[in-house]
Amino acid sequence: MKTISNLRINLKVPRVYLPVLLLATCLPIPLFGFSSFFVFVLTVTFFNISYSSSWNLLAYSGQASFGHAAFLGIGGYTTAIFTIRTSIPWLGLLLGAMASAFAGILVGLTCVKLREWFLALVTLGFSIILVAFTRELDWLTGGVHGLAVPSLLPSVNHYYYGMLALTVFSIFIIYLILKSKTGLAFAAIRENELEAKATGIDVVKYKLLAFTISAFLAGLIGAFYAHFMAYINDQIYGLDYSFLPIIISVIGGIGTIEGPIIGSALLRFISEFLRIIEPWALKIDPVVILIYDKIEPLVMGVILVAVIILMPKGISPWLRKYLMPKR
Amino acid sequence: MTRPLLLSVEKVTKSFGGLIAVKNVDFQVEQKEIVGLVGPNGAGKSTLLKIINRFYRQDTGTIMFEGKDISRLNSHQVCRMGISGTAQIAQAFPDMTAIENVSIGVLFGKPGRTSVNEAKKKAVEVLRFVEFSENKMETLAKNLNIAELRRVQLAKALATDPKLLLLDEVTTGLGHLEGERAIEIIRKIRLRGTTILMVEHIMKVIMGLCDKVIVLDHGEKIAEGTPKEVANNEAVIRSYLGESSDCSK
Ligand SMILES: Nc1ncnc2c1ncn2[C@@H]1O[C@H](COP(=O)(O)OP(=O)(O)O)[C@@H](O)[C@H]1O
Ligand SMILES: [Mg+2]
Repeated sequence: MKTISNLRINLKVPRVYLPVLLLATCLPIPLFGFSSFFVFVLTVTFFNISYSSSWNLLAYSGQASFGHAAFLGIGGYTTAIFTIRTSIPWLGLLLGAMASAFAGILVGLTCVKLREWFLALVTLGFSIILVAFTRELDWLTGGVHGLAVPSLLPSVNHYYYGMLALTVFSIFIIYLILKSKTGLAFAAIRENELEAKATGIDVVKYKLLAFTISAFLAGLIGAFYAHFMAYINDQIYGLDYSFLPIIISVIGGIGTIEGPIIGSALLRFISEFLRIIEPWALKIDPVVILIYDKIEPLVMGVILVAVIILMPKGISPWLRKYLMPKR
Repeated sequence: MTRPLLLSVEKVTKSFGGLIAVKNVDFQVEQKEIVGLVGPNGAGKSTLLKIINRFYRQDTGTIMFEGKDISRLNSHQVCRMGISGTAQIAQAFPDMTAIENVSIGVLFGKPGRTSVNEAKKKAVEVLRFVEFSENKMETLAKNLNIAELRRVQLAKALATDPKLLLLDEVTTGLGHLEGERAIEIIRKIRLRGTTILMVEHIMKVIMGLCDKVIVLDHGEKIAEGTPKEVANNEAVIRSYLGESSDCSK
């Protein structure tokens, strides 16, 4: 008779070792004496990865946020205001994450009964409301002028390692959650909400939990990002920041751990490639300079459309389908 | 001989817009009893089961389970109290394997703590109990056929250790042989002492399995009794012959 151990009882949880290994190879990069611009660009890429991962966790539970920038911004503004007013370093990161988590609970509460479209629109609305508040409360937020955010670390290289650590931390936390009972509940809700309820899953509780954790991580990342950029204004709540994790996750693979890494890396690669070939393009025809800054969004748009059509689930699931045996 | 009451449905009514799907229905299920729910298509059988497992909220009436009013509870709460079952249209978590599907039931469907790994071991046991194919244990639910899917759903329901099992047309859509096997499994479940409330189309199945039968027509209970009594009941015969009671009078 077949025993349990013969069966490959192994949850189909996204593998974490590969992503972490990949990020680990980034450890020595600043030591090689690259330009600080290059290190800066990579730091932003880590930010894209970790921030998109926080969005992707929410998506994993079947909820789509179109206003995730709200959580980023709450984290950023909280630490900016706190650090400016008290001069206490670092603590602002935690406060920012907690303020964002609290906002996540509030938004989650209004959203748990909503689905897809409506949920997405409520989160978008929330980020728009925050812009209005930020502009009105200029005694606190600096209004349209924004705030200069005190630095926590002495150099770009330090921020590089900080952001890398934050990225590995986020990915590892998300991995642990997805692997646990909670992760199974998220997946069940995403795949069949009614059946999840009928099987004893407290759907409201788990949806709220997903919102809270996702917002906590986005807030933490946003807070660190604000210190890194040394400046924050209401653009942090903008559509660019809200759509960034969606585009990255859709390209890399919604609901997968490695998706945000693949998506971020691809976007970064394209934008660096365009930057490198710019002088060549100008040599061919100097008129190109007039439109060159429009080429990047255009290329991104084309890639997004192509991925959605050719690999609707994103690059990572597509690769897996071809590299791994079918079940 | 009367056994302790498990479920009591009292004056339950449910309408969808203008359509009254369940009308003032009363019935009781005793412990360890197998109760059949029959009636023509659209009689309100599925709706009644969905009210009991709290998919729907009734308009009026109460439902008591083990002496407690469950009328205001949610699906996940009554599941954890011991009510679970299978839907007429087999439901699953499509991107999870058979084992994962069933382990959700073990993990969430009953009180108490279980680790994910223990839950999976338990899931395999339950899948074996419903005679699910050994070599499909790791197959994604979306790649299973209807008969296999129904077994997964049954195993998922059983994995929650139900006191009351609700079965909605478990044999519908299955071939003859598969249907027979499904009935054998229900007999096995019965031997474990689980109380069952089942909707079934085929009269022969009901006759062979049930202690008691309730007949619904146009949302109303028109008869109740042993399978034999019901089979000889005039109103039932009329409704099954298609002469709707209100039109003919
Ligand atoms: N969700 C719903 N919305 C509207 N009408 C419904 C819904 N579910 C069932 N009905 C209607 O209620 C009546 C009873 O349906 P149902 O309980 O499925 O019958 P049965 O299971 O006995 O065949 C039918 O007329 C059906 O069309
Ligand atoms: Mg039905």
